[in-house]
Amino acid sequence: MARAAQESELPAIDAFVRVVGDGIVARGSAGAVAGLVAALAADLAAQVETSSGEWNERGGVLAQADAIRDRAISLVSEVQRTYRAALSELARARTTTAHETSGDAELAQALNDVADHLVLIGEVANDAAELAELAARSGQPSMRADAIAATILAAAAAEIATHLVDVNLVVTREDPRAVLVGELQLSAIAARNRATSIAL
Amino acid sequence: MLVQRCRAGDEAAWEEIVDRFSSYVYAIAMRFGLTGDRAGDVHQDVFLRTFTQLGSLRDPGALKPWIAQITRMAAVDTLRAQARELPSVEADSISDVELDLDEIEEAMAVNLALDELPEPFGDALRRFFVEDQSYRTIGEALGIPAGTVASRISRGMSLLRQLLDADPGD
Repeated sequence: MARAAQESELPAIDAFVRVVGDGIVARGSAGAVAGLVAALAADLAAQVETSSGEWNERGGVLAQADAIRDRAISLVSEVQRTYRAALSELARARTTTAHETSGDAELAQALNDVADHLVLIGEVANDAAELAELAARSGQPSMRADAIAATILAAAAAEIATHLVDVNLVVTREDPRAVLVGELQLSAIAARNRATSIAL
Repeated sequence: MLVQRCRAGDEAAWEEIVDRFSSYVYAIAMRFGLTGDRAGDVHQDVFLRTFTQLGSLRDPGALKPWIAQITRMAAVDTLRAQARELPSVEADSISDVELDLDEIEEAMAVNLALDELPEPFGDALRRFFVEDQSYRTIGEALGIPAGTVASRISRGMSLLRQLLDADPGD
């Protein structure tokens, strides 16, 4: 019976893992994957009940986790859109001659759009890390490991976003977006470290 | 009381009705997919009908559901007119519009309760849930560490629930 249940779950798990390879999430869009990871982190945090067990306490964490997860999912779609547009502009740039520079502005705009949305991924990842840390601190001890896992996932998503902004062709080191996403990454990592330092 | 005062020609009472139910009317219109000028047309139509037909309202306590019903009729009228103007809008689909008035009323109650929350709880909740601001942005705006924003919002949610439980609305 348990084996049958496991086998019935496999297609769904397989489909989830293949969202990138099958092109549901734009192939190679690590930014979209970061958004998915942030959404997973928020979802995991949502499952952690707080210590009091009363609606008021639990509801606050659940409602925030739902909101963060929904934002992350929405951003996955937005990041994909901007990423596909940037790929399209890059392909166009490769086929144009040195004298045809009219597309440069469009390419720069497309890359700027990608960077803007990656910063938003960094924000939502940091929010997921902060909320998961709260859940780790105040939630039921039996669920603490899940909350800590959520902070680890969220911090990873923030790190991915920061890395992708850093390597974006139009973003310099002094660019405010690079500074901001770097701070968000550090904030998410700090939340993760606080959570992992809580005794299980 | 409000209805009786209005029937007696009390202008302040009428203004209070408009003020109290304006958002409600807009919310219902938006559930029909009406925005901008069309939602404004429905709003105007609803309060015109409300004003002229207020004498026919038998139960003054049923003002809210009565306005909801008028709004639905006005919204359907607007959609039908739109369907005549724009062939892409299928008139048949209008009757399929399902409204969840309970959901709208709950949203309205939450909105009112948010106004009653002590600061900075109300502000924090609005910024997070309504304006989609991040903890960092909220922390900067409210002058509190970003790391405490999530717990502040949780506390605000707790207070909000107490308010809603104490005053379930009309």
